[in-house]
Amino acid sequence: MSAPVKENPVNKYLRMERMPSIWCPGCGIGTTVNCFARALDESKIPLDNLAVVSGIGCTGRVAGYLNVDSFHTTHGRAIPFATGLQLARPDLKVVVYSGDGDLSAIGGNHFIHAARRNADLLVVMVNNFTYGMTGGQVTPTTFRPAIASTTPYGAFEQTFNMPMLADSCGAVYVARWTAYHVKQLAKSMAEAINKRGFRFIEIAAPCPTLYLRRNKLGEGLDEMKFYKEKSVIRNGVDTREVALDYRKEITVGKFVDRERATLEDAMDQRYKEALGAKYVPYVSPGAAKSQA
Amino acid sequence: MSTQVSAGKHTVEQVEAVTIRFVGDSGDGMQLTGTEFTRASALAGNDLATFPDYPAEIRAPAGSLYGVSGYQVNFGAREIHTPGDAPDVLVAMNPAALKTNLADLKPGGMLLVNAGAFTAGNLEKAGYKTNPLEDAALTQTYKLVPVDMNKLTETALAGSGLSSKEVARCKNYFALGLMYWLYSRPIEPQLEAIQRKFAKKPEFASANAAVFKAGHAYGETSEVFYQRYQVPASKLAAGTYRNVTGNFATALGFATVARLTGRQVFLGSYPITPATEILQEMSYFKEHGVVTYQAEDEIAGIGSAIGAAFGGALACTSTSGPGLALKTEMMGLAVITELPLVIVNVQRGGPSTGMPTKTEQADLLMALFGRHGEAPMPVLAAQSPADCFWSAIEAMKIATKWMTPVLLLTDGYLGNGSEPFKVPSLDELPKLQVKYQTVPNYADGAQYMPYLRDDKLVRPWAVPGTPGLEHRVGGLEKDSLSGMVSYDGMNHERMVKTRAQKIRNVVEDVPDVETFGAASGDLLLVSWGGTFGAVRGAAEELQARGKAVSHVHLRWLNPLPKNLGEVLRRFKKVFVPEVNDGQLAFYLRGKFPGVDPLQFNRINGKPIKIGELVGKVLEVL
Repeated sequence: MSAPVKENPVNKYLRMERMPSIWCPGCGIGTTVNCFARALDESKIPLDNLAVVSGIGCTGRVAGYLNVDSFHTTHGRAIPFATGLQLARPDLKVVVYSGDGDLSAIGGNHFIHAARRNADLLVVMVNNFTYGMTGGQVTPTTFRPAIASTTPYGAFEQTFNMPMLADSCGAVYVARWTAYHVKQLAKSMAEAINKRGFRFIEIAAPCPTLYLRRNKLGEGLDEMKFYKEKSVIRNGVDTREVALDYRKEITVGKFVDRERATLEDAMDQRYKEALGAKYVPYVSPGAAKSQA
Repeated sequence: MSTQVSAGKHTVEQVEAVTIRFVGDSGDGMQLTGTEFTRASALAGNDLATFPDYPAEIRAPAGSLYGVSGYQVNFGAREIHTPGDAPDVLVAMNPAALKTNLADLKPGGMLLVNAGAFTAGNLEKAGYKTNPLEDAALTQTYKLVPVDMNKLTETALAGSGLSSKEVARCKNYFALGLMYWLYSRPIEPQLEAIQRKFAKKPEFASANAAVFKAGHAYGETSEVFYQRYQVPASKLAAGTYRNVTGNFATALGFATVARLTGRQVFLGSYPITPATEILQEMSYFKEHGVVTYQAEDEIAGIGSAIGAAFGGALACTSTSGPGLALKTEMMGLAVITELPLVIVNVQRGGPSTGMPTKTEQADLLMALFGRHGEAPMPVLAAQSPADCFWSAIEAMKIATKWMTPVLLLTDGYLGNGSEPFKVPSLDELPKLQVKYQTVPNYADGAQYMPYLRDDKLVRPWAVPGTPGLEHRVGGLEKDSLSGMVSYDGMNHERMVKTRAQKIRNVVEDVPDVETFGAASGDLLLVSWGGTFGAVRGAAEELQARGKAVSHVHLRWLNPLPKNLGEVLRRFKKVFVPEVNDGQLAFYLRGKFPGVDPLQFNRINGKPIKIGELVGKVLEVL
């Protein structure tokens, strides 16, 4: 008698009929999705109240594998779309899930303004240090002097320190983990989902097909070993000290966790102060009451 | 038609319609003066149309030719279609204003100038070698009335304690007071308006009121004028009217949609001339279920609106040409996801930054075709400032009924221009119902298929959070039923053709064009958008001269009205006047083979003039 097959607890959060995924063997994106599903399980938020928005690129495909309402927007524009959705539907938890190219390059302006406004969004950025889907071009997070298809002689531009950028623009929650730190990442995601305001989680993840291969850094597993060896957890450290560098120590942890009025709350408060009883705050009908 | 009656020491001539243009330095308060005089005309029951024409610079160097700001108003006892061709009265506050506007004044027209501003310095800045007011030709051609408004303003404010700079800024109220006297307007409403406007600065309220009264008294006592004028009330249908600009009317239309549906109206937008007022005006409507969001750029403006639409809001975004260019990728996203959205483009002179404060109709082809891939969407164009209200509601109705983005074209002339708007009662407004999908629609209620269409090819609108209806849409091509990403070539072809057919089906909501004049004849004038007033005015004049000329006006550019081809072919000639280089003419040639319109194109940043158009038509008849 064989034991009954136990279903993986995260299956219900995933569109199993869409598997296998488009991601390469050894890619770190799927690992982060697994952590996200576990975070959903742990956070106990009703799935009906969750919407996931992604941009374009390998990580942009995450929305398609989650069994929730989701929207796959154009390149770089996940944050503005999500901000509009959130303002129209304050009853929803809106998560933006995208990559380093999408969020820090073409979507960089939206990123800093959403953090400044404290838009009520959880932004998960899988940082694989390259544009995967277009074939491995240099991004604002590619280290000097890593090789990319558009920097065949090595990258030469200064990179973004994304946690510092988010922090300095006013994000209320900033954390960084790697694809190796599955437990901490899932816990961090669960914590961030239940918080309000602009929350940012960066995840360093291997891209074996392009970034690792081109830089002769081995397979996905080698990179996981590298993350294990080189990562140092420093919770609460000043984000000015967490910049990453090529093959150097990786500072991970929760760097920022504070409270600040969200975009919607600040808007409501201002209108109430200025207009008094004349202001009628918008009450989201919510999906359940949306019947015409 | 004019009649003379005697009133006190001055006779009062009754006139049917008058066009006045106020021109001065951009710091002279001409927009305010024009707006205030317009309000007085509206209160007097006149029909009217206005055309503010101002420089792009907030404060160009004083006295310069390019810093001249103008405001033209045409008001009358009859129906007024346009702000008027040539002004009957030109109020010029300095030499630069005179130089840039004199050529437009009707021969014999009244030329009221602030003689005090004709100093050597100002004359030089305007490029005058001698003082034009001393030119005999000027007094022979026009009724010149030089008034030293600087000095008279100073006299009126002697002992007021205001600085000389503050005193100088009151002189526009002198001009306004004088015009009130000349056109027999009661002054009390204006005095009340001054009190309201300067409620927080009583010293300016009393100063401006004093100068306004001084201007009014100057007309009565100076012996310069031998008569006054009166424009009787227009026979407008009974009702409550308010004077509205096109941009305000657009904002009001969207706010009304929130009221009609009980749903949130979401405007995601970014400031851009001449569309900014839509965002500004809607920012005030906080008790109407309106949410405004000033995004960090044009793309985020439309992006947030599409996000709101996905969430179930009635979404819109407003912009002008350069902003529309930035929004095009996102417009494609709204097309492929088939979400309701209204994009307002208040057209301005282009390309690029072009002429931001000047009007143009040159975005028609961009509106129709300016997206990558096959991305058709309904295109509607408002025909007058008040029509912007109705167009905004109509565009939102089509967007939600057909699950599609809709492009609403207005232009700088409509957006900034104004006319009386008959405030409708709630039952005069269109019925607007929003329906969300709330139950699974496939496999006996077991599944939700976001692209399962009804018989009109419209897909359902399910909002996030509806239990059992979890779904995913996005910019990648989708399976024609499930909405899952699909790279199947035949599925793509089917989807492209289905989306196109759905937009063609919208024609059932597009009214047939009505022919103004005989159903057939020598020439048919065809207009679209903001040229309605000028072209209708030209058609009236040509018909009055016995010409076999008719007029059709297009509000819907896509789909075109069903009967348009047939109507075009009933005339020997088709004539298309446009404020662009011939975009509608090009479109009609493609849509209706054999129809080859004659063109009249003005691209000088100003609306078409009736007289000029009449002349062009007479040349080809």
